[in-house]
Amino acid sequence: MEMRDAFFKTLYDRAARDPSMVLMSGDAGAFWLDKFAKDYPAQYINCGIAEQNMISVAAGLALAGKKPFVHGINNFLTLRAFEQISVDICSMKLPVVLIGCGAGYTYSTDGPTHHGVCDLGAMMQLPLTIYNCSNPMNSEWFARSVEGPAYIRIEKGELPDLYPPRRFNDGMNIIRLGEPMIIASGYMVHEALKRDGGVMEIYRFPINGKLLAETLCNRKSVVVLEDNNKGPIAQAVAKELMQYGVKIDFQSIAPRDFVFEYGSREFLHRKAGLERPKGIRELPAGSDWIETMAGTEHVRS
Amino acid sequence: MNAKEIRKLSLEAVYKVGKGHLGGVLSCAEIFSVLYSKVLRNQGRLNADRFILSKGHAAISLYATLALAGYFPIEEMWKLNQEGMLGEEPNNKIPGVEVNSGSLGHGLGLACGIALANKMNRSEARTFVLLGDGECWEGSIWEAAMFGAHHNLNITVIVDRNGYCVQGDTESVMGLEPLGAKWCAFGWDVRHCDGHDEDALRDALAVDGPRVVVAKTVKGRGVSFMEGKKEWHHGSLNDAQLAQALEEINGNA
Repeated sequence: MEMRDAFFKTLYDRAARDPSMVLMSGDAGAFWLDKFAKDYPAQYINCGIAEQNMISVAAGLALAGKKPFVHGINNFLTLRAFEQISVDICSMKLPVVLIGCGAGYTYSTDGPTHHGVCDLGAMMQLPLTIYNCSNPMNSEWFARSVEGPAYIRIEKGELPDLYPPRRFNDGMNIIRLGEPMIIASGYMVHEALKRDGGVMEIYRFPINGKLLAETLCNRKSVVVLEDNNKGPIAQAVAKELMQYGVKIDFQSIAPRDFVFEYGSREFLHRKAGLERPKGIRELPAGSDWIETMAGTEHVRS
Repeated sequence: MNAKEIRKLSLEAVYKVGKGHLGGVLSCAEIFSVLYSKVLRNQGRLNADRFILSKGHAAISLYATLALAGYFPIEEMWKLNQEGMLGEEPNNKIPGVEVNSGSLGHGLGLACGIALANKMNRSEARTFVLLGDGECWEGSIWEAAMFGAHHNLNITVIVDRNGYCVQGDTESVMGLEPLGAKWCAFGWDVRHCDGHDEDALRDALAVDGPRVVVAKTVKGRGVSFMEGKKEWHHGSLNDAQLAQALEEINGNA
């Protein structure tokens, strides 16, 4: 199933049980979102192409006891209305859930106006929880369980499920063992799986630094592969590892600038320099790593 | 509580703590006194009418109003900006304050959300918003104006039309007029009134929204040396100025 449909179908089912839920959209649709609008007209509002107001209205609804879910294309939702999100939602800790569609180069042929390459870094500066969906299964899980203030990033298009149902840890998952350990989030998890090495997904921000340190403390090298300009995930990972005293070879692969070229997502990734950059040192092969994901109690002292 | 008390308490607080917003605080004293003594219903209850201060820099007169109405002790006013709970811009942890504000252009959208929830819940509660006139330069105000009119929300907007922004008069900076006609074109029922005439304000605020009351006011109202002087948007008072200001307010209103 398409990720957006998996996500909105779950919201659809949730709305049937919870009349306080309100879905809002900035004139952006999807199959199950449109069905939601048709079947629950009293719980759906198309706010028009006016994202700043949409965020303030969502905050007002939440102040009056509603549970708003606000949908739009990433950049227009988060960057256009950043201050409204900061003041109206985050500073009052209101239960509003933002749903941004178009992570990374989802809209690969629409250019930088539509590339979601700055929204994650920007939203990481705010006191809310971010869920970055990598496959339909975790998008459903987030749609079912999320409480605001939160920002959920979803994708347009088909992506395979990555792990068996209910295999979720506290904000991160090891998907494949190997060296180096490639850390990725959202769509980039699928890109990481095409490469040699282990793959670890981080799907929730802020990162659980203790669990991250515990998971990586016996590894030799880590590569953070992301499609966010300037590497905000790498910055966050590096901060946590340094604070917990984890010594590890570290490499960040991230775009440095906007890409004004048009083609497939893979083409955009090449243009953004997400293939292994020239001059990267060879990382050691093999692994003596012991899985510690099962528990979060054993942080290296 | 009345406008005279609101002005005096605001001035005394600013005098005691050294400095603060004054011009726009004095211009809306009657608006606050009418709202809190005659208009807002069911305060403290679930179905309460709500008031949103969108022009957050008028916080001092809101605090004075709330203190006089008993939401918190008047002594809090003497700790304004001095490690107490009150600052230049309001937040909703302060008893009686509905929303965090201070960044302009947010309040009407918030009010639209509250009023929409009331409409969904078939509640009769009303929602009031106080906007600054300079605040009407913000594009988000007009997004919200379209939304409120389209959904026929029960919102009453009061524009404190004191005519001044920080650096001068609004019409020479970027003309707002015809302001009422703009709101009218956006689908709102517009009333103009003297924002220092309590009876006129009360009448204008008596009808359900979507309505806009353009309240013609004087920045620094009640204190001769502040009236219409942009320098008093934010400032401090010496002993003689405070004494003169209080004397004029006692004599005037």
